[in-house]
Amino acid sequence: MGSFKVKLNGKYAKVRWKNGMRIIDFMHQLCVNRETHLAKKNGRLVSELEEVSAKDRIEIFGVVYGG
Amino acid sequence: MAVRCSKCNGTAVIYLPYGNENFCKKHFVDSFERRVRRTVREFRMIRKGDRIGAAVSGGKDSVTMLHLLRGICDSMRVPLVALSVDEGIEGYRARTLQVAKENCRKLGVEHKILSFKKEIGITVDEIAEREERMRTCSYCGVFRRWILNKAAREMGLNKLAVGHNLDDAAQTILMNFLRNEPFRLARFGPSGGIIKHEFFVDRIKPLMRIPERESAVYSIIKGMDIRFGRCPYAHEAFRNKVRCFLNDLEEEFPGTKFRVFNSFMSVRDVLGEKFNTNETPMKCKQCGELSSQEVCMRCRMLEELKFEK
Repeated sequence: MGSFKVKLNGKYAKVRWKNGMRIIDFMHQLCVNRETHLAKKNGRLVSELEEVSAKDRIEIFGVVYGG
Repeated sequence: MAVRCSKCNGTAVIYLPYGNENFCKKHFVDSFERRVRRTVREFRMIRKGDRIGAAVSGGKDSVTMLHLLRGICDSMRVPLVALSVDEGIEGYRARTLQVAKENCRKLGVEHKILSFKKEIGITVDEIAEREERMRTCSYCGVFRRWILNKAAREMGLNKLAVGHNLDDAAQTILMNFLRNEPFRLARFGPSGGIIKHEFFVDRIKPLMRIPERESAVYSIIKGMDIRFGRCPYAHEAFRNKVRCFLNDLEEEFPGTKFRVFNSFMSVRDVLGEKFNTNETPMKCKQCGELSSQEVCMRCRMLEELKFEK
């Protein structure tokens, strides 16, 4: 198990990573709800069920704020 | 390995947990647009001869709605006008109004911007500075609805489309239960409005069956250049607590929001029979707009703020 840098709402956050982990696992580690956040992998909008490999760039961003 | 679309094996851009399906861009857009058209058709939201106003704040929901309404209205040869309200929220509203303006220009839709300062005499920022008992969102909602209804009527529009999505609907339903306000619930729905009166412009909600998250995905796919910002006063609202609660439930039990909405729809007629008073609305003594009491909520709120226009 290693660590992985994820961009969360514009700021980098560290998460635990191991082979086979999916974006949704990162969301859970970051206490982010998939109802309110979307994810991009290598700049492309993807399903949160997508697996993450060591070289991927992951960005998680909020889209549901209200108001 | 990339997640595959449940329809075509293309790369998925979204997972819909309530249906256990993954969709690629094309199939998601097809499904999204089909659902909106079906909602419009099912509740007969738009008919020949209508004049539609679209309330466009410049957020993802209203801009998405505007894009879809443009197609629907064109095919039915129904005129469409966009209305925006500048509440006077520094650092927030100017940006979203720019998005609204830009999208109206791209779509060739007439756009009218109304402001709190001009129509009410006070901005939301100014309201927030006063230490009143009610939350800022309560004033903002009442004033915005008053302005939109009046402007739409004066422009000769007979329906006002708002970008309320499934999340908003589920929140409203739950909030009315939590506040023990069944009479408000009885007036809620995808189309129509609180009353039938020449002074009241009917509301229609074409995105009523679209989860908010999907509206965001649609706006990104369609390159609408939406900024997913947050209203600085949104955290104050009771709605925000209900939103968080529903999102937590939805994550654990997918389909919760649909079930809340569908449960409401199945008892809506019964609620309507029980709580619809059929009272003829009065006209406010001060502003002349419709009201359930001698003085309307907008005028009472203004008095409370000790502010006279």
